[in-house]
Amino acid sequence: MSQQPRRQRTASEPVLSVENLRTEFHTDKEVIRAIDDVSFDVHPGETVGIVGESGSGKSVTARSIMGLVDDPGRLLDGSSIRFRGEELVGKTEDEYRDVRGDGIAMVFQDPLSSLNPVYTVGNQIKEALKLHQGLTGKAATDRAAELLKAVSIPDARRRLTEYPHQFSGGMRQRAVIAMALACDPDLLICDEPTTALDVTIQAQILELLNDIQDAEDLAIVFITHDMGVIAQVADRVNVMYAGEFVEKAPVEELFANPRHPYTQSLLESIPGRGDADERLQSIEGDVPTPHGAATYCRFAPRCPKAFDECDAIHPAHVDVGEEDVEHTAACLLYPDDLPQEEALAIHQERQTEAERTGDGDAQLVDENTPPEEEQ
Amino acid sequence: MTEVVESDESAREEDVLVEVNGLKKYYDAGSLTGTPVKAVDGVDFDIRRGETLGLVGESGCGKTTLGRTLVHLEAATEGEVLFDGRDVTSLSGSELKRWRRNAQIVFQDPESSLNDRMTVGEIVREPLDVHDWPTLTVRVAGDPDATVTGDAEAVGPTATGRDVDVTVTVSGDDADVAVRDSLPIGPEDLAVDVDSGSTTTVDVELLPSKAQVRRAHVRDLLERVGMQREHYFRYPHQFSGGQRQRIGIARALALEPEFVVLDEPVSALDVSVQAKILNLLEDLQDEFGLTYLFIAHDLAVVRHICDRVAVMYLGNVMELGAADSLFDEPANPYTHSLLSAIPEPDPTIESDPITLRGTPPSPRDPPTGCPFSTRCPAKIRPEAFDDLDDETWAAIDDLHRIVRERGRAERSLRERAREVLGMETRFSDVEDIVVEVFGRLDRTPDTTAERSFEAMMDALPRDVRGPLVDVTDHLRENREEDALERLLDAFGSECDATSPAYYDVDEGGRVSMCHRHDPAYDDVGPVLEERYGDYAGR
Repeated sequence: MSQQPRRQRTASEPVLSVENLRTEFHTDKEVIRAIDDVSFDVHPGETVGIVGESGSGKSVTARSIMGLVDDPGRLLDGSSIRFRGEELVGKTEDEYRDVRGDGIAMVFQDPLSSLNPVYTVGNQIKEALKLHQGLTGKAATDRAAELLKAVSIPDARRRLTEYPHQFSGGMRQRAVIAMALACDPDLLICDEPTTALDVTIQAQILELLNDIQDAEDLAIVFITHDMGVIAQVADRVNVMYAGEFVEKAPVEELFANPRHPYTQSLLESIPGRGDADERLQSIEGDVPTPHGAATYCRFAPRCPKAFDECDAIHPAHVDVGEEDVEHTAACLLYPDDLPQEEALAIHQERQTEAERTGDGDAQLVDENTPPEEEQ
Repeated sequence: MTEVVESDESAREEDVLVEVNGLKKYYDAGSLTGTPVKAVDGVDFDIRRGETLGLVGESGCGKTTLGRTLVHLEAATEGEVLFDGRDVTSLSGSELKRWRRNAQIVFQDPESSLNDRMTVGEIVREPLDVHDWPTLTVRVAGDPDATVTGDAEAVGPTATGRDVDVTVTVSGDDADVAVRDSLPIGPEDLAVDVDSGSTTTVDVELLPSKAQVRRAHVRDLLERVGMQREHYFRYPHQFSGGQRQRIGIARALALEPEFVVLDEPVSALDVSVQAKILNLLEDLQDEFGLTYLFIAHDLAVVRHICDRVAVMYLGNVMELGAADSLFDEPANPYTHSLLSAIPEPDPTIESDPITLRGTPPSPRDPPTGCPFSTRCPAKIRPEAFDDLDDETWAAIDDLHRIVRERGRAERSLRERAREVLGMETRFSDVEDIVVEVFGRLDRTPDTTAERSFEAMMDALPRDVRGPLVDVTDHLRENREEDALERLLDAFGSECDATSPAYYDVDEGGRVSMCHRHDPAYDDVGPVLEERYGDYAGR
């Protein structure tokens, strides 16, 4: 996995632009706000990483973009997902199917469960080719063999006739990637694609993704919980906690200069970064399950730097980096060049503003979202 | 038990708790279906008292099987496991049951290793019930011949530490009773009656019921692993992954073992939770003087927690030594590759790792010679091909792997019939494969029109071309065995011929299994540097 110089963001239009994405799950017992106000852009040829603990909403973000959020979950009004300038929220299932086939593809964590055990690998790739590109017969077989070669599976023609159980774990994930490439996508969403694999195989898959990205100028959204992997693959990183992005930065900036207390704790709990004899830092408590809009900082109960106002004011994203670096964090400690009262006032003002615009939303959305007074 | 922990470093060097000699575990051995799966294929190592030995390797390398064999969850096919000098592979019946109290295991997946229909208390208590804990053991100080009756039994004169629950010092008809600290009972819970006739008889009676003592012990354990005493009556599904793993740890510690196998105990957990469990395991080790075998695939975790590390590949230990030196200056090519594959949590590191090609071979059909020879980045090449470039070698190695895999692929009856009749099968496109493998080279033609089999062959040096022509001929007639033999004959080396011995690679007693440590060959580091450019070890 040779390291490319970090790709400079081109002035081009983003391939994917997510704004104010909010996804809720409504059950008889409670309403769970799995994604709360998430916004990010992905440009051609770059890799945007989303990193966080389990339960933080990483996979729901991916599924929301792919239109795979099923009942009882739904996207709240005001959410916007634009792919190549086209709004995806509100599309019917049929319309969405065209998008999935044509532009966005997804690679899931467990390759064994994304492959059908009773069809040969070749059959499954050819099905994708038939659906998305109308290829059949010999043309489809040839293209399928080419795709397998493109993901570095040797002896491709023989492999086409084999079943998923005859493939090793790494080779299955390659086959899944080949299938994703069958629709010639502009955007690839990888949801923990290497978590189930060994490090040596992980290195192969990351190298493969890197090569494909360079060859096709592919935009990649890479979801993982592994800070090591994110450091190697991502150009920009969003740190996710309890359904929100708490910090956004270019990857080098994030690792060199983490600003949000959550990011700092997360980095400190990785073994091997500090002295081997030291005790590992850990974060007390668990990721909370968010219900409805936040009126406070969701990380405050576990935060070593929390103070009284953290329970009363919801932090907004503020610039925390150097002038020309896009680095923001949602924490009441910032901006740290201002006196604390002024910093708090900024967050307070943004919250009030959000509530004012959010009020309209709340009525449109549904009565289940409890207004904050009732909480 | 404190004696062991406090003993100085040099004494600990000698103090081996577990000694493994030539241990093998084969599955399907002696079945009619052919060759056995060689999950563990002859390993030797020691585990010293009070240390943590790490066991790392890719999935399928046999590390879990080895761990399970050590605690006798699998019966060893061959070899011995000496526990405190006693071979335990041949134990059975009540002896085995008694020994099991000393060796426990924590499993990887806290979701599936706890019974969802039992309460936490029942789960942790189960080993106590099974072993009828506590079996109070009594030492009568200064009188090894004394008879012990009642709810307790006498211990031999050599027993120390946790083997002695109660010490009774007799003076006349009175007795001074001392109880080991980690038991949830005190001297006041015991009724001790001394009869000093011709031989001393000590009658010990436990006043609370055994069930009460067990419950108290379980509650203590829950607290020790960071849960609350009240969690006794909860069910596993009410807890998060990290807490469930704590329950698994409490269960393993219930019988106060000396040796605990930790089989990927943190792999299923988030990094912040993982840190908590690792800290807990370190605390418990200090507190109880435990010896750990820590199985993991996450090398950063292993480096953090282990004193020594064994690196496994395909049922063999490739390298074994002190964790720090092994990670800082790996000796074995496999350790080099494994370390180089870990993504560093630091985006500024511009490393160019050695990416291993392919996957490990099947343990049913391990390569002849060195187990790592099919993927080794530092493999010895025959002298005749000194001038051949790395790229062509990579292609030859790729072809070698494909031929191996083809030989192993299952053929249906229909396919065999078609082969015999000379009809086309999915195995017949040999020339395509050669074009595919050698077409990537700089020396071979680029344009599709020119990429015929003949053109590829013409572009290769004469001494490479000859054997390749034979190999393709064999493949065309479906004789994979012959093809493989021809490949090894032409391009094989010491690595394919004999299994390497272990060489000492540093003063700390680190050993590594590789032909390259033989002075007759260049050592691993310089070779990797030459073949992989900037890569200069870590």
